[in-house]
Amino acid sequence: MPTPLLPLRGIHCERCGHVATPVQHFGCESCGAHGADVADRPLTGEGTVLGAVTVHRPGGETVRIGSVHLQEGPMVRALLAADVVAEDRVRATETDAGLLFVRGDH
Amino acid sequence: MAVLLSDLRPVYVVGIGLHRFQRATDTSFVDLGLTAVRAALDDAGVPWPEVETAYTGSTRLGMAVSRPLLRHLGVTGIAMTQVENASASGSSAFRLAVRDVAAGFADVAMAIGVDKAAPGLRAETLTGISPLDEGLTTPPVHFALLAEEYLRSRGAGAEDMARVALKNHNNAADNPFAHRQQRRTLEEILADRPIAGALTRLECCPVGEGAAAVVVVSEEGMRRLGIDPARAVRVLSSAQQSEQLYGTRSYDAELTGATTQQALTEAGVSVTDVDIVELHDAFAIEELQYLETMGICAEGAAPSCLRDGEFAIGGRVAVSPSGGLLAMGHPIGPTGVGQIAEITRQLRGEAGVRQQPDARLGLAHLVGLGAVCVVHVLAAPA
Ligand SMILES: [Zn+2]
Repeated sequence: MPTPLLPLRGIHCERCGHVATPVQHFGCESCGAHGADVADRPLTGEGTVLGAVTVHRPGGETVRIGSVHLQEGPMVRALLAADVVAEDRVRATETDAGLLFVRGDH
Repeated sequence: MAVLLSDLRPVYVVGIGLHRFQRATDTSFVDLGLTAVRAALDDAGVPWPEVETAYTGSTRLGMAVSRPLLRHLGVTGIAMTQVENASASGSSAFRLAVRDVAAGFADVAMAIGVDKAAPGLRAETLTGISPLDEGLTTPPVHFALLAEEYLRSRGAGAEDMARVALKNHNNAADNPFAHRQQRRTLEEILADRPIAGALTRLECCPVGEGAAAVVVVSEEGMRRLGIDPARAVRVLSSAQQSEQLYGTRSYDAELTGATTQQALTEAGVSVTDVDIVELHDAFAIEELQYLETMGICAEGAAPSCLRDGEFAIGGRVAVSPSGGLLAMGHPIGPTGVGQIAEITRQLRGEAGVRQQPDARLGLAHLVGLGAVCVVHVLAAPA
């Protein structure tokens, strides 16, 4: 069974408050805390687009990819719906192609 | 308190050699490397047996690259070390050779870079962490996103970024060691095959094969070998840092700013004194961003300075007179050593039609995946 994409998950550091995604158990990049100090938490999947580009793949297919600044702090790169532009408010959805950010809040 | 390079023995670059950076061929890496090493030894007038230690930057040739290459110069039993630091491999190899000479571990050292085009294995893919953007954010996509943000926030256009490629392609057209030696027009660059966002193929560096080598010596080595100090380029500083957490700011640019500041401070020079910059322009947007974070020009001013010719050969500061990664090429292992070769050529006043007039101070910068950043400051012979 593949892990469901939603809700997006991140780690929250109990020692320094740093929030990061994806989830990993190695340790906090900000302060080095590890083990029980670093908790796996769901994220809202909502954020703001910092930048968005159309990418030309070999074979002529194009996809829209963007930098999304999530509400909780981390910045992620992800597929965007075709009409999404920079500064849009977006939310994460799950599609056959994987994670896709679309316009609008929940 | 830790010592700085300037507290130690002076170190000089006295020999440079290159094998042309080019698209993949059947040429053995041994031929590529020996061409560069023999050229550097000839340029320095140093016989191979005088070299006391060698560092070889390489990323896609597997383990233990030095001896299969260097044994053909006649074995001498010296220390040989392979250096891998992604795009900055050659820069780090140079840094280690410089530090050996500065500290007095050697009077004559070589830094070499050699690579062939091949898939590289990245440790990041072996961590067991599954990134959300698995396979999505290739280097062109990463830099296209930075470009979109940069150009939009500064009210600049695609042609402002294309002017970086225009300058660097046309510089490389006069460089016999460059991968891309074709003169280009702004229209050609803008109309070239789109890759991601505003980036076209001609605004992305070619990754091929090649080699570069430099000989570095102490003053004692220079005297012993009868080397002419009038062609010796002094290494004033060597700085290397790795990425920190910068929130939503571009880590490549932030890391570049901090490492460059350290290199300039340790060299005891001002950024306004720099005449030559060779930087990591793997993608055209990088030059605009880095010139600003380096302090070469004011925040947001790079597009207008570039348009006014300030970064051209003959301008206020020549940026990538070699053609940079965009056009001289980016074979990875050799790239950083190639920058030192270009700056040495310029500071000796031997760069021919590419010569920046009265060049006294040069700065070499590379960012490597990870990310790491390496900056060196070099000065012309007194
Ligand atoms: Zn922490």
